[in-house]
Amino acid sequence: MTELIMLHSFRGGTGKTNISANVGALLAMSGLRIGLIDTDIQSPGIHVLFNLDESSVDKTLTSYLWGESGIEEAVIDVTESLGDKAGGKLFLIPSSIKASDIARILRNGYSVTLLDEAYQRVQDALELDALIIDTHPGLNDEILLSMALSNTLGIILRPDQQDYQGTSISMKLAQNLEVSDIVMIVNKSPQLFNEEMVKSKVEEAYSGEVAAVVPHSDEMMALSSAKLFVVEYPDDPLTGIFKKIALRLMT
Amino acid sequence: MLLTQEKVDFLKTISFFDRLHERQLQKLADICVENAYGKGEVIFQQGDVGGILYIVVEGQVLLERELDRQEDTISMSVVNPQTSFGEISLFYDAPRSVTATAMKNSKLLSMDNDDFKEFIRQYPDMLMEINQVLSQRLVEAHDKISEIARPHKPRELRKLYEKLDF
Ligand SMILES: Nc1ncnc2c1ncn2[C@@H]1O[C@H](COP(=O)(O)OP(=O)(O)OP(=O)(O)O)[C@@H](O)[C@H]1O
Ligand SMILES: [Mg+2]
Repeated sequence: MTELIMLHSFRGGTGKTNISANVGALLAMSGLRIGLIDTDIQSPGIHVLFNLDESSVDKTLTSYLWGESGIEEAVIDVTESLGDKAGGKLFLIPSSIKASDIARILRNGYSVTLLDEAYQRVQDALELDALIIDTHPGLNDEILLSMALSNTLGIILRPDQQDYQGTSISMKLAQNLEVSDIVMIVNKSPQLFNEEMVKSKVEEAYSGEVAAVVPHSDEMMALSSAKLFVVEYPDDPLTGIFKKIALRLMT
Repeated sequence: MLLTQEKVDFLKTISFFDRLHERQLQKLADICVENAYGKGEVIFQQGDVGGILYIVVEGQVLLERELDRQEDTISMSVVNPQTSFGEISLFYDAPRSVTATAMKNSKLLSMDNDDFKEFIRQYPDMLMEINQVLSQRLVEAHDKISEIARPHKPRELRKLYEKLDF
């Protein structure tokens, strides 16, 4: 069975996209078949980590949602971006980055239940071990539907009062939707914070599990989403933390 | 300007009149008045007194319903050539229920209700045809209602939103 893993945060900029891509990359390197799908149709971004731009992306999730292409046609094999270390496969299903497409889908809407079918199809067609869903922050139709479908939800938060409030909302949503496995990931924790203390504080506040506390990293920031951290810095302690997250999300 | 024969030839193509003979059509043509409207021009306004039936010869007419206390309208239908509008006022003496506007430069034939009723009295068989058109309009109105009343979220999604009602 394919794991359907969704990474979500109530507020923006927490690191959903970078964590999705890096976790996906690690799992593919370890020999699994992994899909990454960008359901952030109004502000897509994960393609950037794989050096893709408007000219290198043709069919997308967006064109599928309009019935203009099959979802299989939108799949891009990005295994090469993992260097020669990949034992498995990494596939990306991007959303359209054309301004006119984004305006069109916001204006006309689409049948959101097609997403369910898209997940099913790529899982089967690509024989995936896991499909990782990158989302827009907050709550919208895509997020609600994806949350209800996913087996594992990773809620990402920064140690910040606004994120704390947002996280309690995400938690409530996920519990009401009966998501079976919910974990929190604290990201961008200041280097001077004690990670164990942050972890226990957050676990206590939400009576939930924290999979990892990821420190703020200047190297990560300097990569500016242009590359995969785990490929560039395979021996960095941060890569070790991403591995821990990857392992936890798969179990 | 259309010649009487041209009017007759046009009227023949309208389903209302397809059972009429040449001579009857000529009588009908005599009570038809030709009107031209420029693009954007209002033919009648919702709330106006009715009393005239129109048939589009050329162009296109938009029928819109204005909403109460809103600067908003619902477009009820787009009337293309060989189609009539305003026929409700034929048997029902009420103000116009929609506003009709020419979407393109349009040529219309209009018939005064009293003249047309007088004509129908001579050829009562025509009532069947007219009834059919009126019934068709009713079905179109029902379609429009279900389109407008359609819940904008699919059922699966609405169920999920209900779960969030904590
Ligand atoms: N641990 C980290 N240390 C430093 N910078 C980080 C870290 N994690 C993420 N970033 C940076 O934070 C920025 C936002 O990350 P990302 O785009 O992944 O967040 P997001 O949650 O997907 O945002 P959005 O809500 O807009 O989709 C990026 O510039 C990324 O490089
Ligand atoms: Mg993102």
